[in-house]
Amino acid sequence: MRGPRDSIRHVLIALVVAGAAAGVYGCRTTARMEARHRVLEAERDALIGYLDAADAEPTSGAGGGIVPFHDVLVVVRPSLIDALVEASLPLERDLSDDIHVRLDSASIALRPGIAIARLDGRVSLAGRGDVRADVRLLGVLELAPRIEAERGLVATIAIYDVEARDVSLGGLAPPAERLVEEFARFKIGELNRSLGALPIPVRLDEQVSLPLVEESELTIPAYDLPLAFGLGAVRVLEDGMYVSLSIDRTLPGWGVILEDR
Amino acid sequence: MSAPGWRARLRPRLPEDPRERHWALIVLVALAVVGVALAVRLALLAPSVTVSPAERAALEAEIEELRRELAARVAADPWLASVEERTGNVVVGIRSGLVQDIARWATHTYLDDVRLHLNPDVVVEERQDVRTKVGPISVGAGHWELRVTITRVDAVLGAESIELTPRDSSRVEARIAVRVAEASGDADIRFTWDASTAGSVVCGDFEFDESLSGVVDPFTYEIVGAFALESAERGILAVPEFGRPRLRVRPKPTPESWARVEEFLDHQNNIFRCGIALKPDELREKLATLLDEGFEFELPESIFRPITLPARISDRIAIEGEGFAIESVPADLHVVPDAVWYGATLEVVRVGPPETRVARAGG
Repeated sequence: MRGPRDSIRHVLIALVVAGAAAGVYGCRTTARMEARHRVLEAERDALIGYLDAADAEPTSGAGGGIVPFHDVLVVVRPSLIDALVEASLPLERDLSDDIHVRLDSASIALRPGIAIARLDGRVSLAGRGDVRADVRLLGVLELAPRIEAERGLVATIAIYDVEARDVSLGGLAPPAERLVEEFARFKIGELNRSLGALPIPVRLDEQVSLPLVEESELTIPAYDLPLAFGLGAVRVLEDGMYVSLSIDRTLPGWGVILEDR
Repeated sequence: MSAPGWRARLRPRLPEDPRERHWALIVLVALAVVGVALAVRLALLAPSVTVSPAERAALEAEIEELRRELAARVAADPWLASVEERTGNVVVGIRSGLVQDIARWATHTYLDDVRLHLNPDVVVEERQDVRTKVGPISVGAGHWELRVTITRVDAVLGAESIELTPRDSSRVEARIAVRVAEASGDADIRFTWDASTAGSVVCGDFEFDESLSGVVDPFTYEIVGAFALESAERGILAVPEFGRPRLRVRPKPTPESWARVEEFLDHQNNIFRCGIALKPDELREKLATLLDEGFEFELPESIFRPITLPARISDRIAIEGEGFAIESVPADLHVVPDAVWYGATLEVVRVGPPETRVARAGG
């Protein structure tokens, strides 16, 4: 028989559970909404930036328009981005607190203003193969020149959210949902820091060279024209990512060109 | 069945001992308060980090509006449409200004401080048949020949000015004013008199050889050619089309050389009197005329070398420490007045067997 005491007990227990759940869910939902909102804001800001820049300098095919073209314009189509991301998989990371992440597949969706990356894989607790969850990581892919080191363009992915796709519980010990929770709240930054850049196979040469010629009837010294690229603009449209680069013409060697113009 | 046990474990029970029950109730109430407080804090105390559905919807609507505006502008931009038509999964465009700057630099460089050491063996000669009168009859007395062979030309070339003009869709014409300076050379002079069968009437055969050193007054010469833009396996090549430009040099014998020639001719005066219809002064004049007309020689082809324009397709990349080959199939070379476009279809090919890349991210 249930008496008033039992009712009180149930009410109290329900309060505890509801409070804790509300707290945890609230944290999780808020964090996720915040992250997604930030991505939307970034998308909006990018679009405004594109349109404002085009308003300020409307001449397309030069330094203005929706896609500025300074000296060099590199267009990377979605299929190449997909191929490069695909080549980086499978990818595994051991994060602190014994969380293990394995990513097996990915897709990149280009929208005007932003490139959204979706990476599918699994999060598990190291040494506890039964505590795991299939997840989808949502991220933003960015393209930028990396001149000093690689002399080329690189793509980087910044994960901002995690979705559990198929939660598998390992008995009573820490549930996979909590694992995902833990990962989403505390480990995304660590994972982002550990992800390497994806090189785009377009080399930005350090110089144009004409080698030394020493023949029986001819001697020409070697000459180099230094090339220093600067980032002019990056645009993300549905059909590709556009990177406009400018050349620094104040470097030694360029004087003779400018004098001759 | 496990369900009853599971339910039994979760079934709320308070201790029977009143003191324990008292503390248990306090703990439960405290937990409930903490949980509810946390939810309230999230809902009320931190509004700045909470996004309401209305805010979210407004933001999405704003983005949709911006997208529409952007799409309209993209659709109305013919230049952008032309870029979208370029084929290949990677496309590189280089503005004409940069192409011309690099061509200008290359042209300067081709012809800047170029030291030529030519052994052209260019020959110029003059020949004349000589007839003489034997009684009332004119007979062939023989013929003389003056032959000058340029054996060495050293010169320093420099580009004085360059004019580049886009000629057609894939060529840039280049007109280069080339300064030829510090030029010097050597020549061999050979004079021969070949008497005919009527040689008994006049002098017999004879010949003389002399070497001559000379200098060339600096002069400026125009070379006209072009740069053809071509698609290479991994980029755009600017191929010079100058052929083998010919330079004409007009050597002037050094005073010492000239004095030596004159001295020699003076000593041969008796020979010139023997009816070959050429006087030493005339021979000097003919020699001077030959040298003044000058000699043409070709510049070596190796002066002009192709240039690879910047932003090339890499042949290898490394991802997560693993090597990949990049197979590139040129898809498109398109030259328009404002730019040259190169498109390629790239394939990322794993060099070794697939690896699983595990890394310790650290704390």
